Amino acid sequence: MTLLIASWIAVLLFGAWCVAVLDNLALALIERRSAAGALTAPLYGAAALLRQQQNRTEAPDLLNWKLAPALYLGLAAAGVAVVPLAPGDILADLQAGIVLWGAVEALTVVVVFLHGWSANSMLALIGAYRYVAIGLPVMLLSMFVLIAAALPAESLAVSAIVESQRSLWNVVRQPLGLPLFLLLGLSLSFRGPFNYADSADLAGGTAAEVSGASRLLWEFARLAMLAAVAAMASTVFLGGYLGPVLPGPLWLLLKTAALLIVLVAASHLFARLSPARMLTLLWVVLLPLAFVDLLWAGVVAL
Amino acid sequence: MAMSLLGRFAARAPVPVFPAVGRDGEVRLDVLSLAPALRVVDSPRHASILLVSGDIRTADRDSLARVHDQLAHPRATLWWGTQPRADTGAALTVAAAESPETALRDLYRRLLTGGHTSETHWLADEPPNPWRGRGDHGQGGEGMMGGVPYGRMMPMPPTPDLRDGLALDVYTAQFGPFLPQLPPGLVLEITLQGDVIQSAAVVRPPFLPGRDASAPFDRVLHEATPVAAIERARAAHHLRCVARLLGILQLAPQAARCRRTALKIERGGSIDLAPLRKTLRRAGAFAAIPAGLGPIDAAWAAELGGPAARAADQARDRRETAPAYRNLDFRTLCQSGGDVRARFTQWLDEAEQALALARAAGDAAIEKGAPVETPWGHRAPPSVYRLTDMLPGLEWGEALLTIASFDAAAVCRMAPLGIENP
Amino acid sequence: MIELLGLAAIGVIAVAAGLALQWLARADDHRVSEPQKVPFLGGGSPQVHAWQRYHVRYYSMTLLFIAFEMEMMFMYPWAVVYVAEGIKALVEMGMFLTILSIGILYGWREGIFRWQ
Repeated sequence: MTLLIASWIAVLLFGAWCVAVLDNLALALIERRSAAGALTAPLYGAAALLRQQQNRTEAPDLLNWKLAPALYLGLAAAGVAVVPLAPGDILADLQAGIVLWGAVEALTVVVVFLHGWSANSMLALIGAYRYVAIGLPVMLLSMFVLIAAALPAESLAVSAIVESQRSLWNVVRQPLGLPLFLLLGLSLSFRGPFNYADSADLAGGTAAEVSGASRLLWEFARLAMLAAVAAMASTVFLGGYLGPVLPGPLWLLLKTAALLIVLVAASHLFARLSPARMLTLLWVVLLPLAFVDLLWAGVVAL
Repeated sequence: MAMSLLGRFAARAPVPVFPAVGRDGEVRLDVLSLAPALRVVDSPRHASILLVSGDIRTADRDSLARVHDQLAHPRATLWWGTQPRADTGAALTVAAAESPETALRDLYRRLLTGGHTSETHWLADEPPNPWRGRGDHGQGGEGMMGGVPYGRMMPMPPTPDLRDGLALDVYTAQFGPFLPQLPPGLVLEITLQGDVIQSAAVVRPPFLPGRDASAPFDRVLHEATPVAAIERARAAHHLRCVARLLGILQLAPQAARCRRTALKIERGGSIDLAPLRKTLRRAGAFAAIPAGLGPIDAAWAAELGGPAARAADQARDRRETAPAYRNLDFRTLCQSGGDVRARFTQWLDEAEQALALARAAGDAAIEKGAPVETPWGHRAPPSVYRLTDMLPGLEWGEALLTIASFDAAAVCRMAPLGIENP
Repeated sequence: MIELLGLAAIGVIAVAAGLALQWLARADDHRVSEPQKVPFLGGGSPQVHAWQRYHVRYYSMTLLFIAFEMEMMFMYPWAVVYVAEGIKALVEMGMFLTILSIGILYGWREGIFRWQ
């Protein structure tokens, strides 16, 4: 149990650090400059934020403003907790792990909105409302592909979904599922083409008024959330800890790292659409694709 | 002990800088932003150092003070190529011709390790609007909103929305002159309903193209100038405009690459723009700009001149008849759309063409005093067409894209002072 | 049950750690001055509060969302018994999804995904 808790903390801290390093590498690669200092920059940046004063605005909703980053981290942590590291080694082996993950997605929308709303500042408020518009349909399509993955397992438990992939990984059985689920990763941590909450056109959006430790916590939770999504995606679609020769947790680590590389690359390589066009794309193209995935999975599972 | 260790650690982070760009301060900031030891941020809350780059207008001094006071402690100000405020005792200054990179690094280190005291506020330490509520949370007021929780007014009386006629609250505020995604110097009074612009009025116009950008073109007035130098300056200018637009499309690293390429071109490097263009196309930069956004018609285009006009199919370019270009097989490039996407494409096309011309020109020169095609449109007089007429009905991001799709001279002419403001 | 308790503990630990970090870092903070509190607008000062009856331009989309979110509640038990029920379950859910998809098409035609 101690080992499980230790590895849970390690996933959050080490995962967030990995994402930050990958971000630096991706930026350097695209900008065509040297990537010197990419490994240490996240740590120094965190120290700098710790030394910075925490801001307040005029008449903010202070309780929610301080609570939002902590809750966001709590959601990322709960998401990681349902991921099995090895057969039987799972921090929270819920009968309905998939339902819990759905709750994490839904509450993330609430928390991000709260973060932007509580500052009582227009740019942050626009980011908050915009995020809800995009966050809701993305949540729908991710739940459809998760349910599709639950069909062959005949269970909503994440451990059962892993075991159902002993013969064949879900990424082969339901090829549409993984790419659609990765979109959720970009949306839950609002990165790149899905950055509607903390975007540059809003001078940082929901985080525009936030400084110091609160901002450190918020940015850390964003990175940890991406790591959580990658861990969940590798569990549900890439067979999690399953794999020959190497021990289970190492397989999970490798698969998660591979997905993180894909996610980080996608978050720096694509332009962001205007919110209305993204909304149309999600409902009219991507959601029907999620239906196709469900149908596909259903036919294969019979 | 722990604090000083943390401070020393923090001092090794990239210096978070919020730029307040004044007159002639934009191009050098673009160059400085490429330094790996710095991070130019979008909000003063994320910065420790306020970098004042270029001369600040008298009218902008209050805004500068406001932005300065919005930085979180520990904070400091560095004045780059401008006179510091009179009341800031020992202000740190760097000459315009020097790079402030080392000064910024050093200042940041001293700020975090206690060698430099954090600056106090410049504005009076009192609420800009005094508390007017009743009760602990100001809940004791009257009306359906239940009082005035803080000194600011409650929303304006509802007005029907432009798009669907729903009567909801409007939010009116002055944006700029230091909002990073607006052209430097531009102050707009914008009325928003949700995230859609209901109306906009110019409070202060942006700056004309700065000295750094226009120097190669002004040089022709005094001496014969190589065609290659002119064309390189044009390509660099266009790439910096492209970079500004990419920032709004959430493509920061690609924007930085454009700025880096612009700098290399100015320094005489031989660059092929095709890979950059391919990267932008694969990133969906063209597709992400909504079709038909920010259109201008033929008369409007003719009045603006420059690349904005050529993007609206007005094939006018002084280089067509210029003797220096006679042997260079110059052909005026045009787009047909006249919208944001067309102007974006036009900048890239013209940058590519300019580099090809620079390569082919050899030592051909434009003689002293000959008319030269600048990378922007006509600089005067104020246009009858208004930027503020384009914005109503646009979503916030689309409005910023529209503004960023015009060069500084065009924005300046479409946003003259004091005409919308009675 | 024990799993739920464990999960609750995990959530509480993470949230508490987050709040503690913000609380501890507050120790040597400067006082936030009044001009520092003004919302950032690039140098401007707002006339009114940001909190207001905000025009949520996608409100009609949220109604469609609720229809799908309710459907999700039926899908959880359906997914567990799907293989046992066989082709019947597939057809039933297919019909349900088809009806909802018609809702998407209708909404699209009515322009509910636009910023109206």
